[in-house]
Amino acid sequence: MFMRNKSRISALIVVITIGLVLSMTGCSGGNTPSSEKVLTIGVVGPESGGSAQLGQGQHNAIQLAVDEINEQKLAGEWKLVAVFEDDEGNPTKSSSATNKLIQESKANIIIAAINSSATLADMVVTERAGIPQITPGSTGASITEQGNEWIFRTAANDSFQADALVKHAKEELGITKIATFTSADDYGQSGANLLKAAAEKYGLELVANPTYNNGDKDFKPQLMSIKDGGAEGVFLWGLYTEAALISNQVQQLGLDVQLFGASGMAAQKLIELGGDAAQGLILTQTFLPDADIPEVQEFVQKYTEKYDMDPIPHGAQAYDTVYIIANAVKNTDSSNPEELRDALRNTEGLNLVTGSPKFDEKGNDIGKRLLITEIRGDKFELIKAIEAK
Amino acid sequence: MIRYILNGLPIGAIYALVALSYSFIYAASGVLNWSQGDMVMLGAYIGFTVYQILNLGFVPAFFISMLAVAIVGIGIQRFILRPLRKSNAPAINVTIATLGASIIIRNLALMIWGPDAQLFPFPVSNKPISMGSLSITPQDILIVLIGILLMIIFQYFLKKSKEGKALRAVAQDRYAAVLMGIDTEQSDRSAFGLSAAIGAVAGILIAPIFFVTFNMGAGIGLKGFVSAVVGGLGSVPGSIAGGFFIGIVESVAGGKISSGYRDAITYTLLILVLWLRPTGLFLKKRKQKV
Repeated sequence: MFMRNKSRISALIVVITIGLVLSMTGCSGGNTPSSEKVLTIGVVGPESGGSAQLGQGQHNAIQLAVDEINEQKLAGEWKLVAVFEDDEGNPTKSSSATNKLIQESKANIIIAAINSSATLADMVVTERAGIPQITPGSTGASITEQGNEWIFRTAANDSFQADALVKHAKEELGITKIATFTSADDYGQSGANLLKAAAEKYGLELVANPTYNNGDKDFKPQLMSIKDGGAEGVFLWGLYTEAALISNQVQQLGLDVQLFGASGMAAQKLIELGGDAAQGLILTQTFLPDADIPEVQEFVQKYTEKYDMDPIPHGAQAYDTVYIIANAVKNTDSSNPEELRDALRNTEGLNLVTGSPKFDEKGNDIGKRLLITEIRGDKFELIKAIEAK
Repeated sequence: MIRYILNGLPIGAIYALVALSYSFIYAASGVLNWSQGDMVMLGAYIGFTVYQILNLGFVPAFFISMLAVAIVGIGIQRFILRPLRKSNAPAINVTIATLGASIIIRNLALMIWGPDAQLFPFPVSNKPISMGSLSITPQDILIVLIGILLMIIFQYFLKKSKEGKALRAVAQDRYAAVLMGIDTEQSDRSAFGLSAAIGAVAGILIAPIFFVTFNMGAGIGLKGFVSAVVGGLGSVPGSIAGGFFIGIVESVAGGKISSGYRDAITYTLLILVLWLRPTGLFLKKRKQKV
């Protein structure tokens, strides 16, 4: 009987262990041979979970750039190797993934992450280790306000986006009363503050500013309070799944408002999940696959050839990021983190997919092009392009 | 205020179904089945697959999903509950094992259907019908109606059918039921199968509102469990009342107080109930389980 019990308990342990192992699939590790002149790029992003499409788009684009650069020897004598880790958009998982990349994969530079709260968590790790980090996806304003000299951002800064959106709402659409509806994390909160500042700057009345938690499904209570305030425009700051649910529920409540959003939710999945409720949603982004710009067209052609789908904006930014890294390592001819960091800061003269990168002293890419786009049919259409200040 | 209450009803109906499935298993077999939330997720995915990918129509999707998920539920009973019971494992071991099953099911779903949310629209309109400041969509009405209908059928089954009576007997006194010649193995099987099927319905009903994702079961499962505890774990009517109650509380809290505190309010309520009225808000005293 005792033996029998014991075997049952071991069976139980096996069952739970299998579950845990399965839950870890999707993480990929990899050791690079320690041959000469190899630069290891550690990549962290949400390859599963609520912003999975963004993480996968980042993964694909980085691999494409790395392959091209190695094939055409664009990084001088350096060979680039990318090692990927999934953080599910979760800050805790993200920082341990970053740590793993630095400690085990011996990454020389980190590309991380998409979700701003994850990026903020990763920055603690890279700063302590003294490894440069570039975020191609996080737009949260606070990221480059920490006085952290190791962080660079190739995503468009949120304050630039908030300003452009509010200005567009006022000047082109004649909207006077707005509400913000933002996620309750670092990204959403900084978005809410920037929108509030922009509303004050352009003289718009902010009538409501509710928030939601990522993963929420029912947004109607907050939308009812927005309706009571009489807002004409609602500015969303969050990710695509929630934005799609919100646009559906706006329609279900019969709210007659113009929806706005930022680049964090710019994914094809937003259009698909949002259906006709998402039609007319206006959002800022840095990249549109059908924009008539030679660098964009070349990238889109190469990407679709390899993956048989359109790249996403985060992908374009991640692709540019790898080229920026290749340029830096070629110029400095060293994998020393401090030299790499200084070379990144002196980036210039590159004509890439999302603009001509140039970093300010805080690490923001001030060379980005910003596009105001609208969802029409099954795609984002360009309304106008704004060159960086 | 009425608007918020109205808005809480469809979600409340879903919570009620999930709460009912937890309570029913708990009452009939004395264990907590943590994989109930994932039955909701599986129901939604199987419904989505039959309806959106195989294009077999909504009604077939509904029943195929119930059947398939019921089989999974019976599988959990067969391969987890039964062996553990035979070796006289304590109830906590069974509960932990169902947690393991839950993780496995969730990750299988991730492998089969991928990490992206899927759209599962209802064949009825989700355009609002407005009455003054109130508005409700045909979709919401359908969710509440199907939910309530299922609860009525279920109650009828428990009170009138032979199997239902057997289940109630087992719930009241498992040992006495065995002495009376009731097959408790069979009643465990019915409880797991039926609860899984109810979870599947909840999954299909919630799918157009929540989208279908591999981890949707975690949130709904937890809220359903909280509803069951608040209403009275082990009591079917109490759990149903608890589900609607939590749905409405969340809606009112989200609109009138702050959505940031919505979950905090729900779980504070849970702690208060456990502290002040551990038998649940809606039961006078613990006398009958099912």
